[in-house]
Amino acid sequence: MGDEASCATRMKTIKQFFALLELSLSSLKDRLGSVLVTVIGTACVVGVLISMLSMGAGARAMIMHNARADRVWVLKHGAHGTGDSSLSREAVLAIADMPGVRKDVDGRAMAYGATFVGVEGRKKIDNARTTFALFGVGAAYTAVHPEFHLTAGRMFRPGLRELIAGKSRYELFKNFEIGDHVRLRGNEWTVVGHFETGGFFDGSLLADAPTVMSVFGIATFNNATLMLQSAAAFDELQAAVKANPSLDVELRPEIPFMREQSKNLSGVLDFVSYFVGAVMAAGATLGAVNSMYAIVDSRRREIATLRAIGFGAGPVILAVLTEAVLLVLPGAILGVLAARLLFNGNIVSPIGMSFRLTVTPHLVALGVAWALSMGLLGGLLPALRASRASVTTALRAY
Amino acid sequence: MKYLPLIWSGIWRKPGRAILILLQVLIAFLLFGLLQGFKSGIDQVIAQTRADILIVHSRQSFGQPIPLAYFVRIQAVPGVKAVFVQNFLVGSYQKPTQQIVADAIDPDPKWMGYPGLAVSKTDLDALIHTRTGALISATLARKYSWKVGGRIPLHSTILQQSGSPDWSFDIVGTFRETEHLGLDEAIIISNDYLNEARVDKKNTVQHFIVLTNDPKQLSAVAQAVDDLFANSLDETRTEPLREMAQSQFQSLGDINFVVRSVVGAVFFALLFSVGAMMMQSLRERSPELAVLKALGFSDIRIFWVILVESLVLCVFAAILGLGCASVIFPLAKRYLGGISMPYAVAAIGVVLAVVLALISAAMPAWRGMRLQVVEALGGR
Repeated sequence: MGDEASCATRMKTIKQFFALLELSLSSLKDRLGSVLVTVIGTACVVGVLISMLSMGAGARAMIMHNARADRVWVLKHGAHGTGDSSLSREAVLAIADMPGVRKDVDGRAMAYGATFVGVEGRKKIDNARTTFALFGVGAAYTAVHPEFHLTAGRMFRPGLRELIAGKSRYELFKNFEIGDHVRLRGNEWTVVGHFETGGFFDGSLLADAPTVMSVFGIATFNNATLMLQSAAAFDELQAAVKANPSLDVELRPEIPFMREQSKNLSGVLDFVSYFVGAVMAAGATLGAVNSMYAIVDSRRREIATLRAIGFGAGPVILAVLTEAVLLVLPGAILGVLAARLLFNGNIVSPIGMSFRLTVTPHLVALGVAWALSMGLLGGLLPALRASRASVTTALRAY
Repeated sequence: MKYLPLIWSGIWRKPGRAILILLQVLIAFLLFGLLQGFKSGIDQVIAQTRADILIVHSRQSFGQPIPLAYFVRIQAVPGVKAVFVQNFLVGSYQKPTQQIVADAIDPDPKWMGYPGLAVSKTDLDALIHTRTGALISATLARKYSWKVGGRIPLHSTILQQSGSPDWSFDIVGTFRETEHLGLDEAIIISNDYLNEARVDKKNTVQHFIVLTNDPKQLSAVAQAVDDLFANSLDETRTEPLREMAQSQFQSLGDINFVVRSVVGAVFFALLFSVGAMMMQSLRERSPELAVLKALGFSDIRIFWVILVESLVLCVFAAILGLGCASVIFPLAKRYLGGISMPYAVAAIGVVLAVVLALISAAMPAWRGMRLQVVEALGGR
């Protein structure tokens, strides 16, 4: 009996809810102003939030792309990154010989030492100057980075002043065409090839490590990078490194290492994005509250009458909230579309790194969630007011 | 003036709505103040950068060391007033997160003329006579309770000749910035000592700071310096400090574009909000306005009353928002360095508020003006 009664109440509630919703939606076109305020306000917030977050997402995607669980970066103990790390040639050779390091078909270890120097380039569009890295890498580079491939030209030859340019260098910067000369430390270096890795190295130049080190008078490598037999071989290598007291190094698996490196860049971008997004959302939520109040107020008599003839408070609150959500959704979609059309795939190049702005599905979901919470927050107070509308006062007022 | 009560009561007709719209406009202008203020603040820093200073660094990239021996040759270039050596030792104090930059200079009595820094004669003498001496800023002295006579141990990735990564400096005095140089969290040490003690990069400097006699001769002097070292192993690039500051901020990304897009989006949304509110309020009040008209208010007067109402609201809220922004700005000083919110930004903000109010109220005011008394009173 009790079940039947509660079931009947629930049915009544649902019926009332849909009746109310239909009523309010059918009169939307008469309140175009209030509707526009909410839709456009939401679209602006979501559009700006997603566009700005796509910078951080792009930076992360670029750095994390192709990161592998079976690749390890070797740094000096306590170094924050490759910049403040230094490894002797002996250390690099010793580590390459250790168990756990993968060997190629000829039995050579897949490990190389790398060093880098800063090089300046000018952008094609506005001639703006940016500093980026020229990496001197060992012969095993291509074995350790199977994602590397030449898109044009050929590989640099050891012992010669030759270099190859990554995708975002030759696409965005001047003077990195094949055959071009780059002047470094009083010498002409020739660009002999173009390459792409799809990730971290695309923003840099590559050359032969011993040549770079002799030309620039550098005695030590910055870091070493190596390929493990498998991700599980890490512990074996770690134990071998620990057992050698002359090595003061740290092994950093690539995935967490790259994530950490990307945090420096995308962390700042994300903070600014969320800050601006939150402030804008606060403003737009106030706008939504205002327009929902306006919508509820203009239907005050109607709602009060319905309440008087037996409509429950629950369905009224639900209907107003649903209406608010239905208003912010098209706004969110508009914002997402605008961000995608305007910014997805655009290349930005701050701080010497280049990456594509990426509007990921995750960001789209975030934008929609952001909009929904704005709608719910914005609709709450007006919904409560509507549910309390008393028929006598409402009918007396306009 | 006599319309003031009328306008006032018009604004507060529905207090809830007035407060909501007020907050909305306030938030928009807060954001505007912060973003535009940041952008203008950067422009200001660039404009305030001294125009008579050149930086000589490696042609290959900033940060690549160049020979210390260039010092004498640069000094001999006509138009050069003084040359200062600049090297850096970056280390951490006590724990890795407390990074300290030691700015290594040539402690010469002439160094008193170093642009933007104030050091007393006795402190400079002490630095000249103490190999491991260091001058500290008031900020760092407060932060780590350092006192003259104390020692600063620094752990650095730059190694000493002995292979040790641990450095130690004796505090012999203090310095003060008279211009923003970003040395607030730095100490000043002697380059002679750094050069002797470090294992790498012997007899090189990061860059030279060149003070010139005449800002108009800047590019001629720069060219003369670069010509000196053309085709050598370490070619130089000499450029005005101001230009370097500019390109440094440029590398932060296209701030202009971000600021313009965000502010644009915010105001676009706001336009609709304020406009819709004024429209709604007009609809509710048409009988009242009709009564005013019946009492003899001219059409144009009604038009103005509605317009001014929106003006008062928007400008008041904008001033509040800009005020909040200028209060928040100093809190961000840590991240923004010497940037402060220029007054021009507040002025632009108020103008924007006026424009916003006029555009969003134009339509409601027009409708109010065209209101027919009979229709409005009969329409309820």
